[in-house]
Amino acid sequence: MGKSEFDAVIIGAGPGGGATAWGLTRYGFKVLVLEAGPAYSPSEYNLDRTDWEQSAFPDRSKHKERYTFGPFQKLGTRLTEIRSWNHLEGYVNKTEYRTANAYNHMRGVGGSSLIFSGEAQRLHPGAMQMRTRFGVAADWPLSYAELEPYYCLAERIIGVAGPSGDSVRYRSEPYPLPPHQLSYGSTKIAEGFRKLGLTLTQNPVAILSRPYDNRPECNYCANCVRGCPRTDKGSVDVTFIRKAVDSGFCSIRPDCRVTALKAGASDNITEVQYIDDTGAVKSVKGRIVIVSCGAIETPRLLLASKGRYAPDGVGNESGHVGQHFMETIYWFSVGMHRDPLDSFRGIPVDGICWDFNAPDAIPDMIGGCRFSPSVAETNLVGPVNYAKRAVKGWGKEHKKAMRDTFGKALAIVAMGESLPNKKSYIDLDPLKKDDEGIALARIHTFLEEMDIRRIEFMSKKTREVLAASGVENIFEEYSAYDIFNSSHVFGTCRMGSDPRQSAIDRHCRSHRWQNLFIVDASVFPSSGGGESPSLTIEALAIRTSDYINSLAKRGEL
Amino acid sequence: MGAGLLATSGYLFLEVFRPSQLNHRETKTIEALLGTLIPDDETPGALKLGVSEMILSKAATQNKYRHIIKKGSEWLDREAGKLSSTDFTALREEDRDSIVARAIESPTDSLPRNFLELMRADAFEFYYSNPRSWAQLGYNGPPQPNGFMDYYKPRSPRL
Repeated sequence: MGKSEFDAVIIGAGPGGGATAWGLTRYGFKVLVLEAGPAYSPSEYNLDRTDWEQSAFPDRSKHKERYTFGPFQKLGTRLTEIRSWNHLEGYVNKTEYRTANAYNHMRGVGGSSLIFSGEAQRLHPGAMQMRTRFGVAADWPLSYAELEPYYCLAERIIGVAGPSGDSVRYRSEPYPLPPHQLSYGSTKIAEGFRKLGLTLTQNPVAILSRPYDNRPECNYCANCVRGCPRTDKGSVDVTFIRKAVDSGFCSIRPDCRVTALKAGASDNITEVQYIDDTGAVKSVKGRIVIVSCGAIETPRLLLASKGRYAPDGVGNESGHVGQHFMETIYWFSVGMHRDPLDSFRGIPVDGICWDFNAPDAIPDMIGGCRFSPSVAETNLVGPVNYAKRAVKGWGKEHKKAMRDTFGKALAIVAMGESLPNKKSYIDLDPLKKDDEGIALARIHTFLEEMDIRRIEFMSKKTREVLAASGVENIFEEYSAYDIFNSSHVFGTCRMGSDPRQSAIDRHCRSHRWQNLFIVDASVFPSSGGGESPSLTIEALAIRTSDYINSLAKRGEL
Repeated sequence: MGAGLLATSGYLFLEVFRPSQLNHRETKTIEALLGTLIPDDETPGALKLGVSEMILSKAATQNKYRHIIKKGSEWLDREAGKLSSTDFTALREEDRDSIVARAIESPTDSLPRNFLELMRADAFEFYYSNPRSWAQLGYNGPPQPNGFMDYYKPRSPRL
């Protein structure tokens, strides 16, 4: 291998890449981060404009076409009650087949944390041994106890505000910040849970409840998904990346699309090829290479990097790259509360019910789920969406109804375990390519009976809780049953101890390629029971950086 | 010959998608429709908040948008003629409402349905993104820079 310009080349500046960059710079590693999307400034976000509601996150990435879908499964006729619908147009998906909205992934320095709601949950320890306990998915090759110190570190860097008293997820230290109070709207949902004998507690979030690390506290505008102009949301760009760059050891190159990893004869990645922001073809060498592009783009890059020494794609010696794809199993119900609430205020997902989160908590089912208030995630936080989606009709009646209902919307989201199956995987589209001629990722998604039954459970419980909360009419529901719409995806470069059954080892290192590491949710052997994955990715990333440092100290890199 | 046919068909295609600007009658019909969708009551309606100017401005620059507005305006006047032998602008409020209802209840993907859904969505978008419409709702937006520090309290009394 020729002389390396950098100790580490990291591909992707999201939770995995950003946290690894920070982790390595602590030890003085010289790090380069190549990011396919642009760098954003918080001053770009539009929340102080009168037309803010028409503006999503100001996505400036140049290359939108990134993936295609394989054929979708036919929908059963017995399950009409778990289809997506709204009161204006009936079924949202009017076909007899499952369809797709989007893979909600953001390219840019900060990755999908730019548009996340700030949720920062740890995995349920019981959800990390799904093969041993239930014969499904795969076991994590490390324990919750091994990950716990790294959870603490990640929570300190991003500034997590959370409650004490979680008896399931052991903590060696308290959250760095006190929890946020529930919004007034969410207190109504908490009442609903309580009436059913369930508990809604404060959700741990990377949103500052008081000034911290030179960032201000949140002012509860509810619009994290449009980009946080105050920087109180702990997205990766204002936390891990900022600290890595401040160390003087890290360079970020935005708008650089990696096209291939070059594998050499000595089981090492010798070169990373990319197109820079001017369109020039470039390459760079790193003593180590870390891929952190997410569970769809990471397998795409590895599979597309075929060569003499990696005929089936880099890291794909056992055929596991792209397999075991797990998606977001979700259910949303949205309705109107009987009382005025001004429910457009607060943080987007401020509460969480863990009662069914354990993998055996739902009767006669494998895999858990969680429930949260989520009116902001359904985008009912301003007048325009109320007028277009929530209130029917037109004329004077519509204006009167707007005055009567604005601020009364309440919503609950449920998210559950996604179990891998043979029909859910990522491969390369044989026909569609990007601007550089690289095959697009093709998403094959299939729900098995257990996933569908979990959605049924989530839908019933969500409706019960909303009714108990004082919601009198539900007017929209969205379901993974008939529409693929995933922000949390997992499993396509599974970690494991057996090289025949996994792509990487327990330290996120390729079983074969000695200087190749993968750090994103593609390494998850199981998805968890609806927890958001970013904190776990960050904890894994810091742990991986410690391991890399230990290898370097022993002269084994 | 073949080239001539191609050129001719290309010319016709471009004509369809470069429709003429809205004439006076079409403009008045759209204004009447917007006044029907968001009328004045104790608060100002669409016309007073400049919604028609925004929609007409959008129509002036977007060919497909202008095309559907011209066809929709034609449909409104045709329905008005069937009802009262007059234009949509000259109808009474309840007759305009009945024509709007007929459009909304038309089959999915029909011209009147598509046209009315487009006008409804845009009218509400332009109207409710104007801060002058927010006071009636008790909305103290936009979300930043002030946020909602009273988020945990019951809603504030309406003005």
